[in-house]
Amino acid sequence: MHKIPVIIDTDPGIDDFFALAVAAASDKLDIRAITPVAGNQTYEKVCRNVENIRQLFRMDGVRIATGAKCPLVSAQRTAGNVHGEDGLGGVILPKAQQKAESTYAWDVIYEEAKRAQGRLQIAALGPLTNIAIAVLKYPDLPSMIDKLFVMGGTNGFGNVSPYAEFNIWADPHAADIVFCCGIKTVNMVGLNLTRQAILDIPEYRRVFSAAGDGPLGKIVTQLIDYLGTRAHGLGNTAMTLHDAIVTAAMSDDKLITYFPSYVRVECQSENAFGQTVVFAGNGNRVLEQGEPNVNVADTLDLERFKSTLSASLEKLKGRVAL
Amino acid sequence: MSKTPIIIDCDPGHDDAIAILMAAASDKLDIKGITIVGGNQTLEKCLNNTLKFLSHLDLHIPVAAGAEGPLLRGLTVAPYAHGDSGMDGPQLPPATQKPVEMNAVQLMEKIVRESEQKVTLCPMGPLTNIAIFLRANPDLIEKIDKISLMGGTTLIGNRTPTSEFNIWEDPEAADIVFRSGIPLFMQGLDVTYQAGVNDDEIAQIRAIGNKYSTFVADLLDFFSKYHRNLGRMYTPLHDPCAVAYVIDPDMFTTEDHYVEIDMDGELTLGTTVTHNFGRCTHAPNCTVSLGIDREKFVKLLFDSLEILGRGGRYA
Repeated sequence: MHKIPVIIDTDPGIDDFFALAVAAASDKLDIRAITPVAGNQTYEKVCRNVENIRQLFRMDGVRIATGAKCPLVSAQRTAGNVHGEDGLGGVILPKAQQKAESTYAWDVIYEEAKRAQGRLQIAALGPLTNIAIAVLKYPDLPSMIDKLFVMGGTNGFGNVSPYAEFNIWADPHAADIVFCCGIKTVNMVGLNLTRQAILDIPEYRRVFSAAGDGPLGKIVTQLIDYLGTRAHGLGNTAMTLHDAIVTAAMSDDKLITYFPSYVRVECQSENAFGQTVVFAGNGNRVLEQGEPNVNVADTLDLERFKSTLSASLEKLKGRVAL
Repeated sequence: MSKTPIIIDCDPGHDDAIAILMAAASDKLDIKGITIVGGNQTLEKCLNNTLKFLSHLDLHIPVAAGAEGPLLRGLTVAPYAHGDSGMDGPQLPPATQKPVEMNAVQLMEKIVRESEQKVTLCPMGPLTNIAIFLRANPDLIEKIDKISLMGGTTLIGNRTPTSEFNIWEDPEAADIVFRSGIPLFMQGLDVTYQAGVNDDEIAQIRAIGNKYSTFVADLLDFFSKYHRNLGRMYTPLHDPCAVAYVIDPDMFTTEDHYVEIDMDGELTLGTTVTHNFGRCTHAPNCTVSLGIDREKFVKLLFDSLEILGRGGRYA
C-alpha cells in the first residue's frame, strides 16, 4: 500500500507536538513537509519548535518551509497563556542542527501538491494563513489537494469567545478563504469534536506511559504536567489534545464521523468574530447559502484515539534523537 | 396571595394567542394589558388578529397598538410560519372590540405607574415596544419586577443559522432590554423546541370541546403543518413558554449567563451571544431556560383551556 503524502501546517504548541508525534510514528503517512505558521506563539518561536521536533523524532528528509509571520488581515494574537512563553510550556528540546529552508510555505505546498499528483493531504493545525496564501497565489491548487484536515472552529461553544475557536479567530479571513476555495474535501475538526477527548491528568498519564521512562517519556511527562498545571490554573482538571486527533484521523477513516454542511466564518462582528457559522438544520431563511463546502466533525471514537496515541509513543520511544 | 400583574407584548401569531389564553386562565396572573408590535406580521394585521380572537372568546383586556417596525431596520414578516394574515387557520368573525386610545408605550406607562405591585413584562415579539418604554421611562424601570421573554437561542437559530426571529428582527431593541439590568428570563429556542405538542395532543385539545379549545386546535392544525414539513416531532409552543415561566418556573431548568446581542455580524446578526465557554468575566445578566418538563407544560395548557371553558375570566 502506498503511503499518503502529507504536509503538516503547524504552530507548536503542545498539542501540535503530539500531533507531529502521531504523524511521525505512522507507517501510513509520508510526511513531505512541515510548514510553520504563527499562531500559538510568534513565528520565530513556533519555527524553532518545529525544527527541534523534526530532529527529535528523526524526521530526516522532511522539509520545513518558511511560513507566514502574521495573519492575512487581522492583528496578530497568540495563545501564550496556554502554551507558555516558548510555545512548549518551557520544556527544553535538544537544539536542532538544521534550520528551516527559505522557500515559502505556499510555494512548498504547491510543489508538493504537483509532485503528489492529486493525492496530497494537508493537516492544518494552526491559523489558516499559509493555506490561504497558497490558494490565493495558485488558483489551480484547490483541485490538486485530496483532503484538507483543519483543527479549528466549532459547531457549538468556543474557547476564546462564546463561539469562536482560537485558530479560526486568529485569522478568520484566511479561514473563510480556505473554506470557500473549492478543495473537494475539507474536514473541520472543531472543539465540539476535540472536547470529546477531554481526559483528566491521571488518564493522560496512563495513555502516555507507553512513552516509557526514557528521554521521550520525560519530555512527554513535562508537557503534560505543564498543561495540567495550566488546566488546574483555569479551574479545569481535564484537557484535550486537539491537534493530535487530526493527524490520527488522517490515516484512520473510522476515527471521526462527519456531516457535510455549508460553513462560513464571521469576519465583521465584534462579539462573534471568528465564529464558524455552520448552516446545519433548517433555521436559515435570510443568508445566502451555498452547497456544503465543509465536513463538520461530529463524533469521535475515543478509545481508538487513545490507542493510537499510546501506540505512536511506544513506537517513537526508541527512536528519539538526543 | 395577590396576583402577579403582567403586560403581554406580542405579535399574534398562533403561539402568541395560545400564550394569552394560558395567561388568561391562570389565577396567579392578572393581565393588565396587551400591547402589539409588528413582527410575525404587520402591526395592523397583528392588532386585528388580537382583537378578533379576544372578541370571539369574550375576553376583555385593554389592547394597544405599538411600533410598526424595528427601531432602526425595516420590518420582515414571517408568513411562511403564520400565513398571510399572521394567524391563518381559525375562521373568526370581525372584531367587536377596539384598541384603547393610548399607544403601546403609553398603556405600559399607565399600568406600571398605577400599579401598587411591581409589574412583570412578557414580550413575545421583537422587543421594539419594550425598548422604547424602557428608554422613555427610566423612572419606571425599578417598578418592573422581571421580564420573561420569548426570544433568542444559545446555539441554533430559526432565522439564520445562529439567530432567533424576534431578536434578529430588532437586535438594537434587544440590546437595550438585555442591558437594562432588569431581571431577565430568556425562553429561547433551546427550551421552546422542547415545549411542543404532538398530533395526538392537538386532537386531545380539540376533544376538550369548548370554544377556547376549538380555537387553539384550529390554530395548531395550521401551525403544525409548517413544523411537520420541517420534520419536527412536536409543534413548538414558543410564546407560551414566556407565560408558563411566570406561572410555574419550577417546570424549567435554567442556567445564569452573560448574554449580549450581536448587532454587527454579517452572518451572526441578532445572535444572543451566550458566554457559556468557561472564560466569561462578566456577571450574568440573564437566566437562560434550557429544559422543560414537557408533560407538565402540556397539562398546564390543557387545564388552561378547561378553566377558560367554565367562563368568567376577564368577562
